[in-house]
Amino acid sequence: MTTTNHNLEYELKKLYAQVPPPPGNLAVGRERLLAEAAQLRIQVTPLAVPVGHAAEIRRPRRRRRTRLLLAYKIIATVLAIAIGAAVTGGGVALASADNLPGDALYPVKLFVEDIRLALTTDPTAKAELNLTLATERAEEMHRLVAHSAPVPAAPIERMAWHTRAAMTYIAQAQPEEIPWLLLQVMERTRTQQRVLEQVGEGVPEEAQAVWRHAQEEAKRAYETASAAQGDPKRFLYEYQRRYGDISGPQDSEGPYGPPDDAGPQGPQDGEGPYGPPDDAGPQDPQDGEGPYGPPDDAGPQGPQDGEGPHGPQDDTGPLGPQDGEGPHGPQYDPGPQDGEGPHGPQDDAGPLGPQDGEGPHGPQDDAGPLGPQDGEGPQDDAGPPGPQDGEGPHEPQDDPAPPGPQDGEGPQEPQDNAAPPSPQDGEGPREPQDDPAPPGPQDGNDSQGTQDADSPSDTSAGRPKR
Amino acid sequence: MTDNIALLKRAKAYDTAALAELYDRYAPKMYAYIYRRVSDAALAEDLTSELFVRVLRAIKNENAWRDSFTSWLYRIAHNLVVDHYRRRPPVAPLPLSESLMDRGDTPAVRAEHALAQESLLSAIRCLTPAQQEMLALRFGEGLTARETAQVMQKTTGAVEALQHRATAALRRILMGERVP
Repeated sequence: MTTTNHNLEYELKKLYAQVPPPPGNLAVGRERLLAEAAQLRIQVTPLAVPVGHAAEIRRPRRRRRTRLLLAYKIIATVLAIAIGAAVTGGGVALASADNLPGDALYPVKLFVEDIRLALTTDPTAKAELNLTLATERAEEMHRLVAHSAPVPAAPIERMAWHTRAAMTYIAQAQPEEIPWLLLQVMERTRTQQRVLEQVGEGVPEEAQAVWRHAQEEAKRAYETASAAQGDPKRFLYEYQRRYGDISGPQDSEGPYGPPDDAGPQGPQDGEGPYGPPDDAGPQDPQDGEGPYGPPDDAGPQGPQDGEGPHGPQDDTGPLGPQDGEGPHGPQYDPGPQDGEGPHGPQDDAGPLGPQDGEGPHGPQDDAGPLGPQDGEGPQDDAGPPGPQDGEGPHEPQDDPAPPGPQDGEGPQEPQDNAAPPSPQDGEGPREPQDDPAPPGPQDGNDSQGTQDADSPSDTSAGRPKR
Repeated sequence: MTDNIALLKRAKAYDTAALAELYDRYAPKMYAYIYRRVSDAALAEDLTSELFVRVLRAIKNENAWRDSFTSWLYRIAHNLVVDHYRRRPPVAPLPLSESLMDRGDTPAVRAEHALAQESLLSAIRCLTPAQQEMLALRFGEGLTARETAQVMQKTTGAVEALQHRATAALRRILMGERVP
């Protein structure tokens, strides 16, 4: 090689001119950037909103949440302890987020999730929570596969149900929240699809149909989100086109519904039950849904659309604004209506009333959670079940617990009502998200939480070069 | 650069469209730059992805990019490359003499050319990170000495001196290998 400066520079230029095209066409980086931005935006968003508005709306809500959380934690703790004692013969076993389908405490985990859903009222929060829970199901499946364990239908079904619920709530979310929610949908449903594929061969015969359904659900959500390209209006269009009328969804739900009940957790069933049984009484509407399920299905969405629900919630005041139902209302119209039906009832139920007023929640509230929140009332109920620790809820309690509650015995009653709702759409539940704290733990996953934390940090980027 | 300012403002608010546009505008360029530094397409793509995440996290800090957004990007990219190699030192370049012996007698001209390029690349990897950065900026990105100085936060004279030392070192390495 020549070594004169001129030739050397020429050779350098020639060398540097050879850049192969990026193998992934830089697509991953783009998605990652946008997803990360979506998360960061979550933190920033409140500030972006007119301060007065945000403050008014958020404040009350937080307080309420805190109370709810406290009650919820107390109940969960009691339940966890009771269940733990029952299951382990006196030992205290706390279920944890690590529980997998088939574990004794798995139903408790699901039960706790349902409570969270029931306690969540804001469509955005509900959508997020549902996405988080769907991802949680995907992780469970992934772990089962890693252990070469068969993957039962329940988590698969539940994952599909959560995904669909998330889409329904997104359709009700504030337009400005929609873009980043869609990014999350894209990211998470892609993960779901990957996991479902992994699971593939491990799915027993009887779960094949559910598995296919989950694949379709993940695919549809992904396609809807990606077709919307972050545009709220376009999303609503795509959403209606792909999810069609209510019925469509409902159908799906059908499945879901079941899942909840049935499925996942035997115990839950209980829940399903909860709702239904107890509830039934109270809320006829629900019944339908009863278990969420099925009825809901229709229901679920309905609820979602629910704006109806929100509506109520809003009423409540706090949310109201947020819900922005107003806004949503329109959007959803389609869906909601149905849903509402259910909710409506719930609200009526009156019980709810207490909670937040939110319609949907209302019920929930009524149900246990609220109860608790409000007063101990619930707690009492809870009392029995008791165990839960803070976290408790999730984890711990074993099946027993769930059911117990569900059964709704004392406490339950309240819960019951509550319960049902939650499950249904899971709408309610969300809370967690909202409430940063409580949920936080539970989910743990909520990415957001996490994100928030760090994101800002890296300044390193800017750091001067060395 | 002017319309960049509006774009960057929106990006600061994590505006999706603005970020997507920034990415589309700069990612290919930054990928190419990083590739020139690491000679590994998959790694370059990963680092490019990482680069934009860092940009996103630091974009709120206006001071970071007030002068020149592009320069800032190059700096972050350089830091990424250096960090990467600190964690995972580059595979030691094949000793040139050995590679020359192995394939030195390849008859085809093309093969010889490839060999020359490979030798040059190996020689570059022996330089200091700053020298490598300077070479990639000057001869890969086609920046002037002054622009390079801005990116490297050095004076133009310092960059020229760096270039002088780098080319001298390259020559020494290549000659040394060539003429045992």
